[in-house]
Amino acid sequence: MRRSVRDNGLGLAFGGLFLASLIGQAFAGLAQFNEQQVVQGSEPVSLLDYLTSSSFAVDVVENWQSEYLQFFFYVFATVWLVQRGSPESKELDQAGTESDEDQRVGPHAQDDSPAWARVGGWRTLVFSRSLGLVMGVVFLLCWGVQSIAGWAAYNSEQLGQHQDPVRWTGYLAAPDFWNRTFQNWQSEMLAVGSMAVLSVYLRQRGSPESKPVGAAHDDTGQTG
Amino acid sequence: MGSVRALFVAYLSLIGLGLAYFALLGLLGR
Repeated sequence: MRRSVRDNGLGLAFGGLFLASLIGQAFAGLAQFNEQQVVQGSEPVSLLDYLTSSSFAVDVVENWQSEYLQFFFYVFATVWLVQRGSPESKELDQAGTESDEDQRVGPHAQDDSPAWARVGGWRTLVFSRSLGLVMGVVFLLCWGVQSIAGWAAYNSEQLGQHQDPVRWTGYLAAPDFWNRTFQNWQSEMLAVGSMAVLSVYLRQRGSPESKPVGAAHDDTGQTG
Repeated sequence: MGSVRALFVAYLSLIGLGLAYFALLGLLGR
């Protein structure tokens, strides 16, 4: 295998799985959309029409926002909260942002440390939180786009049913917006909590998401 | 590290372009 492929196995594999799943969603979504069209006495639409519809957009992006919310929460929560026995947690006495020495910032930076870890001031402050910040910003953008695409899709459904369209602010208070939002949030929170708790007593040999198989159930913060 | 950086940029671009596209569909009211 080429080295660049092997070096990027995780990123490439999940990128490929994402695209395959999105294609699956496109075809299944089109079929469901056209079922609805027939029920309403409207003409079925083409795949191109569906892929350029707000209905497709909101179905994709409502899932995106919850994933980034999940990682945003997880990245920040794991700074401050610990879980005894979990490889997802830090050791119990390390809760918090830790010392500059532990984090290799400013004068404690090493030769190969990123420049923004060394430089100090606002750049080190931002770089020190960049993973959570980007997850949080992408979440907010996705949620905003969900509200816009969901609003457009909602209004075209309203028109199909000879109902009045609503304003964007009206859509933000609509059950459709919050049902889409919460049904995605609940599953993410359950999955993250499960990962933190189930990994205390269960193992996956060779995975950095797990403790070593022989590690004690009480061992916290070990990966292997 | 060149290929790793390229993948990093590809992921961020995918998210950004995807969001811009979906926002556009919503704003066009399609």
